[in-house]
Amino acid sequence: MMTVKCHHCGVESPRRETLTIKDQITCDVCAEQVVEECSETLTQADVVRNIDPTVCSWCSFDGGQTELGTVAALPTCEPCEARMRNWPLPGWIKLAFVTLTILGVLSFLFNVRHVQGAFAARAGKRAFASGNLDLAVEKARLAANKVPEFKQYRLLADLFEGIRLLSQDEPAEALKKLQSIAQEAPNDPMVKDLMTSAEISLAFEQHNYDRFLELAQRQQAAHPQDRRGDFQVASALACKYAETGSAEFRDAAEKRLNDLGADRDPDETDYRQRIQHRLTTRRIISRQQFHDKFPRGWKPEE
Amino acid sequence: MIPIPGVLIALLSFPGVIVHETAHLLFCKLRRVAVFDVCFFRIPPANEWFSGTPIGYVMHEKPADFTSSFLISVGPFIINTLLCLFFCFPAFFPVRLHNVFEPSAYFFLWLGISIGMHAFPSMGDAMVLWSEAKSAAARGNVLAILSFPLIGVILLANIGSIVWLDLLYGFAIGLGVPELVLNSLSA
Repeated sequence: MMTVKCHHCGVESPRRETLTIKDQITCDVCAEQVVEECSETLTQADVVRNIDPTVCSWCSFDGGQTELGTVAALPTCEPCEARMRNWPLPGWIKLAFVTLTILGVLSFLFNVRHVQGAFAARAGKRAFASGNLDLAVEKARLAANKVPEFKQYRLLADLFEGIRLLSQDEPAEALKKLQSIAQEAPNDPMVKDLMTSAEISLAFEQHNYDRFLELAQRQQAAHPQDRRGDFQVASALACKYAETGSAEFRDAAEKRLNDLGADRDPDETDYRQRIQHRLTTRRIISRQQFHDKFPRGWKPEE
Repeated sequence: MIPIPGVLIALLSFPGVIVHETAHLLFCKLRRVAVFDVCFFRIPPANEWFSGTPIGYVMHEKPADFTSSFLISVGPFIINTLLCLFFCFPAFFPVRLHNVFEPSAYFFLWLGISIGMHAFPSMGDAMVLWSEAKSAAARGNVLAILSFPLIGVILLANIGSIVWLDLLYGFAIGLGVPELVLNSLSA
């Protein structure tokens, strides 16, 4: 520790307990009086606290006669400098950071299923659009399993499954599936239409051709622009002709087919051939039986 | 318009203030810059609520080089932005994709956005960086020259905080970035 003599009282004091006032060393005791006396002429720059380069400004460690290193121009002992250059993070900050990081990771692991669900649903819709019903059902079911609380995915999976059952000529099962969807989405027009389609298939399967015709006509009236509805009515009329032999039904069926004009895709051609086969032979066979019997299609002269 | 005291905003988003000061401190430690005092969060007396008294601070020595000054000043921008993404990303999906009411998701969204909105260095940080950058650029420091646009952005962001630009930034990082990622993955 360095000591200096006060210019005013001559007492030896530790250097860091003195001030320099207008270039004169002044002990803390005299400083008050000097400042009071010269208050009108003193500026802030005239009063400077003296620093002892051998005493740490932060912990008052006394280095004896050895001058200490400085930090920000203030004498600083080694432990203080080491602590300041590596300021400890409080325990609560570390604990909060570790806890929140773990929670964040857990949140990610728990919530990543939402992303997987969304992508599975998207893949399902794409598969459905491309006609791959098996994949559509699989992906939609996966989405529903990933996010069970999001009922739309379950309904989507049920819907795809219902459509697949319809395409597999299993109308009774399809109708059950669609009815379960309708309970949760009673106003969905697509579900309503699909239910009518399932009921039409079921009526056909049960040889209830009056019901088939009634439902087909109802669906065609609901969607007059849909050519498939017209084919369906023609199909029902052909069934009625096959069943009753009434020319009235045959003529009505043929008129429907003529009014439709040229076929627009292979499905329409296939449907037209089945109806024509029914009208020509008065035999009612299922789509599967027709395809098994006429794998390359059917023409009246055969 | 009724002015909302900064302390009220800081109270609602206190994790962001703490992370902001911690980021300053971490970069001080990383660059071995002496720290004199740290306050992670405090509530100033009511008469100082509108005076701009800092809610938190890190008092440190003047760094010896511009890189240290730059990192210490910009540290919160880096750390807060990354943490905002980290917390908001997983919480975003259940809410955005499936509108699921999951309290933990909303907690993490609040946490992330609170942290994100305190990403911008304060006006004080920006002014220190500005003066350091000027002298370092005069010595030909490339980082200092390149940092001028960023300092400009920080200054603008601080001015913009009057119209909630800081909160907007929190939302943009916390909700906007996951949305962009989701859209790019869905494309």
